[in-house]
Amino acid sequence: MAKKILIVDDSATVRQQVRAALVNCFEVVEASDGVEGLEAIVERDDLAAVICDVNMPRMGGLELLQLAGAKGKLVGLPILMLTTEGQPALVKQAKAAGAKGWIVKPFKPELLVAAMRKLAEP
Amino acid sequence: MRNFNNRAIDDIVFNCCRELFSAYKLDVQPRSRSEFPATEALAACGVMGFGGKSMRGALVLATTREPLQHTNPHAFGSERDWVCELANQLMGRVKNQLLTLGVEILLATPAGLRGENLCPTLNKVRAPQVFAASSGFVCVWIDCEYTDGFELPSSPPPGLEPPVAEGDALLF
Repeated sequence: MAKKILIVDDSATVRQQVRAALVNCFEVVEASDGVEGLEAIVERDDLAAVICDVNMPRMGGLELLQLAGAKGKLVGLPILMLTTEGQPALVKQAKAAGAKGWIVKPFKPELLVAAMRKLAEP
Repeated sequence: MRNFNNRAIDDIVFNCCRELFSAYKLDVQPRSRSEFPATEALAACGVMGFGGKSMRGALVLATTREPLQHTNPHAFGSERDWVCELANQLMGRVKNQLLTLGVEILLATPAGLRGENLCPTLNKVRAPQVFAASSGFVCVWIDCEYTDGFELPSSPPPGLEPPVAEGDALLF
């Protein structure tokens, strides 16, 4: 059975682009902001990895990381940040909060697949 | 000072816009303001607000239908959602360029509008930059205000850590 990846992004277009890139390797589930993403991380026990945007309404990706970490949900659950942000301070903040990777949009599908294979299928 | 800053930021936006569409394999060439498309031809428009210690404002990206279709060939999502994401990615590039000059800004989330009601005033100084694609048009403009005395640096301050480049992947 294909491993399950959660994509958290407020753009439906980006969620579908990520789904299309990963569809041959993974099952993809979606959340449209940090609040939905955190709910999914807390409630589901079948996620192999998470791809998460940084700037989103209601709750951003860095806050999601911190809250998921505080709930002990990042153990064994790699999170890759997929964002337009490239600011080194944000990358460091994400890494310190438990993120396992960072890709700046627009993403190359083959690069995303390779990154998710490394993270979700170690 | 304000004119200097505006010219510099316009140059950044110009280059970032061409680079963004190039990343989607769409060559966009600058055109004169007189070639600005009829406003009813504009399909959608994305607006990105931003703010920081030295400057704040908004970036607007408006396009006709063809560039949206070319950059999103599978027609995922809606036109409005996609133009918002393109505006987000464009402003992300502008932010990265500003970071290389030591200027930090924070980005808001994008807002989308239908393009049909947009009617920019083309004879103003802060008029849109117009680009033609192989088919269709892309228009972009940025409207900033600056803290008194602020001058956009023309070169990076020494020792500055560069931002992660677009398309790059870091695994920790």
